[in-house]
Amino acid sequence: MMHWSSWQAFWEMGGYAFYVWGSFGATFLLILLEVWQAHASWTQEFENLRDALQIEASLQGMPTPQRHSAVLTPVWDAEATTATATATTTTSGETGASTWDTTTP
Amino acid sequence: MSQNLSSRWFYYAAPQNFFRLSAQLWPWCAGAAAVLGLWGLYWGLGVAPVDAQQGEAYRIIFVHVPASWMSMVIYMAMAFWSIMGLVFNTRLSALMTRALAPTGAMFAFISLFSGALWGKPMWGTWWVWDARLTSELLLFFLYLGYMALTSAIEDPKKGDRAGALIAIVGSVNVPIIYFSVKWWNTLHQGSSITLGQAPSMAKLMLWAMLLMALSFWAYTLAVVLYRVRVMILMRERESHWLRAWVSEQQARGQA
Repeated sequence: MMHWSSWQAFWEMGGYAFYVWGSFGATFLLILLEVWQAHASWTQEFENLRDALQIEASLQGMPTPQRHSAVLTPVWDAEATTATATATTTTSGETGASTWDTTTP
Repeated sequence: MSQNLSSRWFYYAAPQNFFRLSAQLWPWCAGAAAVLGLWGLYWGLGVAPVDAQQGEAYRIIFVHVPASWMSMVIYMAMAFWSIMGLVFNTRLSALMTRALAPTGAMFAFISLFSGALWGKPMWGTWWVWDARLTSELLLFFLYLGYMALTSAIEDPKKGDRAGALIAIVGSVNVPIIYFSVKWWNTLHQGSSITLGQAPSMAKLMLWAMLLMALSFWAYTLAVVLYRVRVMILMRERESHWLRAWVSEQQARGQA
């Protein structure tokens, strides 16, 4: 039934081991890679959506104006706004934006 | 009966219903792919006799031929779903097309790669600009082009439509690949299996090849169904049913 006389003969593939195992090996690796990639993207998308839902749920109890500002103005944006505000008031700022702000009517 | 069938068809064209259906189907497809694949490998690598002309190197055809078939079938399937999407404007069609592309590209690559590994000992060269090889290379580039284009367009609907055009127009290449060995008398040999004719290979080799082909079919179904689910997760994130499903999964995970 079995074509091969020994395992060694099987691995040698009649002298074509590199070509035969190269083909089968590449196919096997690519399939593994694709399966892994598909699974990873599923996990990532599922966790993204789950986290987004959790954030929304935690904002649910907040009063409306606060909730809006929390959604529309993230923390780093709020800091940036205050930074610009101080720069414009001191006028000695090194940034072009602050001088521009003070010289234009 | 036919009305029932068509209403079912459209029932599953809704992402919500297909999301459930695909969850049930893909594990069976994956299981079938594994069983058929192991069976095919056992016959193809273990039991099938040596080829009189090519020696043991002929065993490469057990991945090369099924992979080449799948690379063509998948492109035709993409063209089919693209036409469905343009005609019926069903949301699922474009997701199917997008989910098929990476697997098609993979099989086109396997076809070219295993073909080169077969060509070196048999023809004495990794590559020739033969009609069959060149048109298969073009198919590989069409897959890459489809994926690059659809992922570069930010608006998913526009990306779907642009991709559908590539899929439909590019499908002209598939019959060219298939018939290239008849139309141009170049290096690549003719078909091992032709419809309506006795195959030009030993029965055992033929069965091993068919098992591998069925395994690749089942694998493709499994991975495409799985990937469609990922895409539904991305596209339908605003819909209530999906949000309910995610919270339900999470509650089940915590319990």
